[in-house]
Amino acid sequence: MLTAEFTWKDKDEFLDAVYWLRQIISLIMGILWGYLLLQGFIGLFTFLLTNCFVVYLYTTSYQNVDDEEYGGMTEILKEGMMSSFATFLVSWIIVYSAKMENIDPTL
Amino acid sequence: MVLSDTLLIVGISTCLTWLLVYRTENYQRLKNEVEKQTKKLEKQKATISDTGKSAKKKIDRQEERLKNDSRDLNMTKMKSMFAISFVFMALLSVFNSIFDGRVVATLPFVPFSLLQNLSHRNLAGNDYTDCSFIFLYILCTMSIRQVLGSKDDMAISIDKETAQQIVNIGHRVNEKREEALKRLLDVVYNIEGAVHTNLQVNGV
Repeated sequence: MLTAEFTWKDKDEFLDAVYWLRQIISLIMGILWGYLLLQGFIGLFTFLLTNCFVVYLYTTSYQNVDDEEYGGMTEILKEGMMSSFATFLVSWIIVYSAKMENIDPTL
Repeated sequence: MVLSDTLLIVGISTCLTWLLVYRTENYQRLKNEVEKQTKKLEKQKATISDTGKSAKKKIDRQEERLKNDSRDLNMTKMKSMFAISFVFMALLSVFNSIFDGRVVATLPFVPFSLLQNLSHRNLAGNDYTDCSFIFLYILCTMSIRQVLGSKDDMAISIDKETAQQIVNIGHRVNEKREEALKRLLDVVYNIEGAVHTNLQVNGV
């Protein structure tokens, strides 16, 4: 997954790599966003933009994959989107709540 | 405290799926069997250039076995998933009664009105950043169950792969058949020629 321009045995292997990359990024971003106490839809939009941008860069620049093989860039960007979004929300909410609990003892 | 309780319960409930479905002996055995047979079939497919009738039969048998195992794997998965959905429903109602009306987390955003029914379910007050148990539970299951699912959608992918392999093998066999016929005709033609020449030689 981390080797540049890796030769993938099949399509699913690359899509799995994208999926797990997304999960890792989402978890890290969720923790970071929570720790920084980011709030509102800015947090959501910045996550979506950053996540898609990282996957785009990973596909085009790092792995040099021909996106047409996978049904276009939108298909790659869609891969594991919902579950990574859920992972991000869970980690963001949990860290944010924990920090807020520390700040406000009435919570 | 409530947060850690929620985390613990969500963790237990998601681990339960894993323990009851993906770690069962039968499931693991079938999964390994299917993986092994797919690899075997791949190898046989790779050496198809030397095939005769017996090799083709062997591959057919192998395919049949692989199909049966894939079917069994799907059945095991289906049965377990059926049981799991019951467990999940029961757990959800139990946890819901424990955490009903309690704020389990603070949302860093205000959800849009459609989601507010879920995120603010049975909670007092108008602070929509308060999060109910059910909202967090749904998010966790969306995230963790799909992680497990992504690794174990193998049966479906194997089914697809098997179907594709069968098509490929069919094509190859047809190609080889034409080639074999050509070769056979050549041999027959050569033999005839040789016999004819021999006869001529003998005759002279």
